[in-house]
Amino acid sequence: MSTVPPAPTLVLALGNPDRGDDGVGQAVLQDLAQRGDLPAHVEVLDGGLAGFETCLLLQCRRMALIVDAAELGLAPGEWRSVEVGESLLAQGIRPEGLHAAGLNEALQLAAALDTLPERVTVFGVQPQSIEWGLGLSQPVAQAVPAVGAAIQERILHDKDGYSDGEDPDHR
Amino acid sequence: MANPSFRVDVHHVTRVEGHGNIVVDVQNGVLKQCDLEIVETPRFFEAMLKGRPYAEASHISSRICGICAVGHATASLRATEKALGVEPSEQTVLLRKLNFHGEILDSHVLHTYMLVAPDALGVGSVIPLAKTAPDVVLRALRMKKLAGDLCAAICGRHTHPIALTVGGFSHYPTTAVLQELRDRLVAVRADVDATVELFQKLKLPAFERDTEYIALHKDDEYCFIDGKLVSTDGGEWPIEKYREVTNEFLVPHSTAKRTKNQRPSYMVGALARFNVNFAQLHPRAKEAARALNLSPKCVNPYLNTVAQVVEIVHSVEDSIELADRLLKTGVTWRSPVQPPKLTGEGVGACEVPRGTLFHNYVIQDGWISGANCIIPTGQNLQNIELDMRALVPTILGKSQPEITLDLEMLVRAYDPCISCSTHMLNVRFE
Repeated sequence: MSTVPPAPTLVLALGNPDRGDDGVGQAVLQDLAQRGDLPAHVEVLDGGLAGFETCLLLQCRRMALIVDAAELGLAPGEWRSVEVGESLLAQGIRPEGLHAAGLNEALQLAAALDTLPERVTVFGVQPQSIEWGLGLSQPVAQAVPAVGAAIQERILHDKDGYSDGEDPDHR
Repeated sequence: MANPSFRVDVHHVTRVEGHGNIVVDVQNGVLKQCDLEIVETPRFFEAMLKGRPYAEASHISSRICGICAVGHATASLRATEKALGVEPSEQTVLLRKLNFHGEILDSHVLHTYMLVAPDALGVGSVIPLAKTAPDVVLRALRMKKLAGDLCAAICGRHTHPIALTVGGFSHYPTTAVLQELRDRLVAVRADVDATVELFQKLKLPAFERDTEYIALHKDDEYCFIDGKLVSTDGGEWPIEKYREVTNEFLVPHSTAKRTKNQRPSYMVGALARFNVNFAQLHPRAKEAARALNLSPKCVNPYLNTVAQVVEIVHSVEDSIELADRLLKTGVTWRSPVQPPKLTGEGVGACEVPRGTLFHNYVIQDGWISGANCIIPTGQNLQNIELDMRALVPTILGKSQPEITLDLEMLVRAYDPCISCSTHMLNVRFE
């Protein structure tokens, strides 16, 4: 195991790019990369189909921004950001995965283990299709820059500190 | 209740992969019905393989299972290599064995900790377990992470391997990566010891039913890849004769085929391997078996989970030895061995986490013209059902929720992967 403490802020993309709009998380990470360097306290990770192991990715973080396709009952490409709290954990965030545990199970497990970051925000984008195949649908692709901008904004104006990219606890 | 009447109807057993139902009907103390219904949709993987080039087979068939993807890919590669006369190098054999241990560890940690331990600790799932015993759950996650990283380093990613190819590898781990994995495997011994301690404390039901246990065997190693088929009832078969061992048949209440050999059913998986191959276990794994009070021949199916704990010890120790051997010789880039011919038939067999897996391909001019895959859970279904029939009459004095839990725990003990076991059925639409 690495002895270096993890970066306090994590941007985590989940999903399978081989399943159409389920790749929206990866696309948002690419969008973020094009927006220039992120502050040093921010780590960006493509979690793919991480199941329960998502708990370990969240461990010892202060803030996590998770982006994933989510069935929200909205028009394709519409998106919402939600703070993860008790009510949301009880209600469930996305349907069960195919083989592995989904994000909801992982967040519930992290909450039970008391390893959830102080702040967890899920950016859920309504997919048009998660059938097998590469590439995003047009409405979801159009939503990517707005989600990327919202995540960048959240990072740069993180009210609790680190807004200048300096983090005294993370070297 | 001297002559109870009740019906158990567990519609979709939880904490197993896929969809299966338990149906038990007892009237006046007499068992009228006791079925494990498999209601998963058949998936027709063999049909998908037909007409595809041989090099695609391992990539397609690894999708049969997200848990045993390395196992399916390896069995597939061995079937293809045998059909086309390819002899992999010693380096390839060692790397495949190391990769295989990663998958065994990943799957066994998932089953023992996440799926079985909650029952034995009296909680409903891993979530309440995380509240009462967070150290146990974090340990399981750490071990799973190492197992996943081991797979990723060798086969290119955590699941659905991309670097495993016919005749070798398309990617090799660097010395630094291999050394880091080796160090982490040594460090994880503390977690492995704690796992053994945990399962020493857990109480599992004391139910016994002798059956036939079948596993792949080699005289000089605890066999996971290749070898020959050996039964605890006596008998050895080359893996090419697998149909003489599996003897598949159909029952009306299951979309998965059943199998039988010298008795009405047989068992494959960790307990079968333990019973057949105890002598070949690593000394530390034998030590763990003694500590866990497990000795061959064990006929309590609930202890399949304990046999998995013993295999966790074995896989960690053997992985360290394999890493040492690879570090000593150095891993060097070698192009995959090319097939000397493009037509033939071959059978590949592996011991995946849940038992013996067979892939049988017929290849003509480089194209797959016929395929047959027999999955461990399919081989265990008849044995589970016969266990249920033997178990129910012995627990009639218990309450109905207790009987239901005992039956669910029995099914879970086999670590069934139901989706994978449904294959090649004639489906009639009316």
